[in-house]
Amino acid sequence: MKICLYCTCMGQNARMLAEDSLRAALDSDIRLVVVDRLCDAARCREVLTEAVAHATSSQVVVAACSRDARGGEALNCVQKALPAVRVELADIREGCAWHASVSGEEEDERAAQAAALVRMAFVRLECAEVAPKAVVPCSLGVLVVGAGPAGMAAASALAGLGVPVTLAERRPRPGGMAMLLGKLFPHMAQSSDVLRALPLEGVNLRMGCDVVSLRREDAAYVAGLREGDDCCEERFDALILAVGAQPVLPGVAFGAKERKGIISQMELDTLLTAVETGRKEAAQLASDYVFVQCVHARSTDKPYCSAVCCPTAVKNALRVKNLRPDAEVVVLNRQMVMPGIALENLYRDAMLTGVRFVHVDSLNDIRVEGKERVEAVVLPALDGEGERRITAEALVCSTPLQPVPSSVELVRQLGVCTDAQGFMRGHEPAHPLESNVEGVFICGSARWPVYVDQAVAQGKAAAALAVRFIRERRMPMDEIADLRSPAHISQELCSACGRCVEACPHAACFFADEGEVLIAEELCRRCGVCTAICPCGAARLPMASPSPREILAAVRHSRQRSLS
Amino acid sequence: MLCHHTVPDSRVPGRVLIVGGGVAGMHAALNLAALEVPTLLVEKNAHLGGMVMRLDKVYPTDHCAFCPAWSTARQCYDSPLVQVLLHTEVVGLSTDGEGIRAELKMHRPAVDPTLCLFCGACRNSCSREALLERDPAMTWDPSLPPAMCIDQERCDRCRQCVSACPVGAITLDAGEECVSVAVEDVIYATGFEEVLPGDPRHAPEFGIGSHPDIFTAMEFEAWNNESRGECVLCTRSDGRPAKRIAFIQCAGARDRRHLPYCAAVCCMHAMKQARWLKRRQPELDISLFYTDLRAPGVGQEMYMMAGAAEGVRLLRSRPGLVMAAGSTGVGVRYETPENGRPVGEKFDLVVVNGGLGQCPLPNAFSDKNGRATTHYKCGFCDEPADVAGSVIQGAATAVAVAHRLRATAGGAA
Repeated sequence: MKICLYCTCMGQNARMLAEDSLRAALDSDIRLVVVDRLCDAARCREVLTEAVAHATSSQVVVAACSRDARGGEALNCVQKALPAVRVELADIREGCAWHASVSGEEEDERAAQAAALVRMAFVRLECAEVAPKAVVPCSLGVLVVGAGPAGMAAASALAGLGVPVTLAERRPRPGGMAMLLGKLFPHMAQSSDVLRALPLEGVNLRMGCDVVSLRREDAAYVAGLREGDDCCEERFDALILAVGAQPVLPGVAFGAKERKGIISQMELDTLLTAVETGRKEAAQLASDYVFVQCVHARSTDKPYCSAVCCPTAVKNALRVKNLRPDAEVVVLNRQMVMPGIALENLYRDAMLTGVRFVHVDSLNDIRVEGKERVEAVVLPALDGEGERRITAEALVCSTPLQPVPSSVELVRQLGVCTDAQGFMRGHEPAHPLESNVEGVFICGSARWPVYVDQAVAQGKAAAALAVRFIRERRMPMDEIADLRSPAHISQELCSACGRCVEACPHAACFFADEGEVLIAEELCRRCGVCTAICPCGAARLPMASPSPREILAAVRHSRQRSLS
Repeated sequence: MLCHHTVPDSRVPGRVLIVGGGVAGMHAALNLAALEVPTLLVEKNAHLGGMVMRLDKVYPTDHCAFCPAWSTARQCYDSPLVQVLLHTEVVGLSTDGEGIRAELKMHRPAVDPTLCLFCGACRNSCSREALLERDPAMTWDPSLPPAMCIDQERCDRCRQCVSACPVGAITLDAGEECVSVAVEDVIYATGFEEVLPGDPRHAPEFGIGSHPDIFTAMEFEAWNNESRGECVLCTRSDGRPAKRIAFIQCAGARDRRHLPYCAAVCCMHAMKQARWLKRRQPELDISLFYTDLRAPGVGQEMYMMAGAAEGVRLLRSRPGLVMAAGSTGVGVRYETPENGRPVGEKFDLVVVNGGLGQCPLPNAFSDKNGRATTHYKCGFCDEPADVAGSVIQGAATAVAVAHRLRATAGGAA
């Protein structure tokens, strides 16, 4: 008899996945028992004695959460309570219920998906046999795509840790958008100093090198690199994507076409840098600046806050005041987004220096006057009657950052998730720099607009994750390879129908050149999809007999040995 | 597996001390372990995970907070290169000729979790119900294996439980032990604490502690926590159903008299609580008073807008006074955003946000010898950060420390 223990997880699973609909979706030979908090040992014993003591069952599937959450614990508890029974885990919380709450699937779809996961777990129990080893050699190094501050930090960190690293950048020199900026908030450091602190010694620098393709092959990542007219393909163990973002241009906002004096925050930044370095006179700065925040941002088209525009505006307002103390700067904002200690201090400094911050509810309230040049900005008065007029010689539009379309295309080739705007998605919030593709890490403004300090921190963090990924993958080779046995396909039984190739979520099943179906052992995650879908019974999944705890013991042993 | 009550092994060379076992500290430790640097992770409370363990859900995904934190904690316990010391405080730090020495004060817990069978014999023997199955402050008891704990306020020290325990896991006169360990470097990840009455950083005008219907953000999180198994409907302290709820942002924060900075996480945290309330009880009337709505991270602006679309009333105003108004509820005095006229409004429950103070670093950390000790900070104690920010900072700090250690080792060789 097959028993499925459905852990409602204190209502979290039950809310998304009703007991009845799951029961309806499951095969009729599976008995569904609803329990709660299986990962609590005492409670588990209690509910199990009531629920399944009278059944003589040899197969139990625990439908609960992921092994990384408390699933492993639940499995241990059930196994302890039912020592004579074979137990397997189906992750229906992270694997289905939670996922469905985001993607908005219908109740019966969710139930079908959960039932499939449960069925796969039973298949794993049924198809147990001993199988060959999987070995993953890692010696190819890491590719960092993009040499902005995030990419430079990642490459610099990896080289400092002795990991072979290649840094590919389309432009002729590193630095990215930080090269266009003179001073950086929040500490008003020179961008050149910040970049100099990221030495690239020991990095295989590939400037002027376009990454034209990215794909996965076996356990490696293959990057197509183009330098001038030369094209080549190279293999890497892990990827760090730091492809950056680009500013949205103000375009024809506020009649910029017919009026002079409307510039972007980036143009003002360049002008200020020129004045600061003595290449231009301070007199070239306008005497009355009006900054407008959230131009083309937090709108229906771009419904996000780009996070860097408010600090940039405050920084530039301070720089204007510093270079030309008689200049007036008014910042029209929906709200000033200056979170944290350093940014709030910068904001306060600006207010004390005489920069005026004026709240507007909507950019539609702002009217610009002046025929050929900008002369003034008109706002509705506070009491709702009449108008306020602010003299303006230059109108500076703060626009958000957006993903670079060619980079979005590139990362999508790998299957990396991007959101509706094209920013790469990590596993928020607990693993923000890990993409949905194993071994691919994301950082910098291609993930979400960040300022240079944050980009550097993210680059370093992504480097740490890449090292961890490579080490953890390499380590199990001799010690625990036989514990992670992959699925395998019996060529005698296989009809080469290709269903498993289509269904495998990890792209481990593939057609070999001779037309037979093989399994890339290093990609197989033992999910059991191939065995569940195979009509000929050719795909088999060996049983991993040791418990997670035994695997950990083996890992620990191998680590200690490598240390001593 | 969990021998975190043993004295730290003094023979491990090149070890880095991490002060604080929250998200930032745990990620610093795990990433250092991956870089083959041994660490000593010191946490003053009974559990790893820090403040995240007290959260119900986290923005912007609305998933539970404790599971990811719990799995990270388990990785820390399992890693052979991370030694976890719970119930331990760092009381002193000095540099001698050879390196940094840390003085640790280890409090022995009343119930030794490595011995406790969780059999419940102690609870049955206790006449004052002082033995609890889990720490009431935690959303989910993250101890592994589970252990009983003692509510010191109820305990009358009758010692019945000590004799009842079959394995001798309980010692009521739990003492403390001071040890000194040599460490290579120090990372501070001490996080934040809620500023409560009595603290000079506390702003008294918001009435925290004066009325049971005025909550701080973390108190409200604990009270309205559905992961505890029993989800409460919003009721006032007098038992009547609560209909109107106010969230007050920047209370005491961005205020030179109290906390001069913006704590960066409270706007989203309040909106998260507001949205969960609305989801459970759509009829609630929820107002959120803000100064600037700060939602700069991934998906946060969309989260805010979704909340506004679900009917959370957003008011751009900074209330000046929150006080109990007898049996009619809690009064909030503020200036209307339209014309700045002061008005008073009554609410059933008021949640006061913003009083998140950085945990002060222990005294010894301000270098008394005038010698510059290299040390690093990550997480909220460095710069206000949410979960994702702390994870990133923890990993980035690990890389910085590993770099320095490699450079020193290279220089010495």
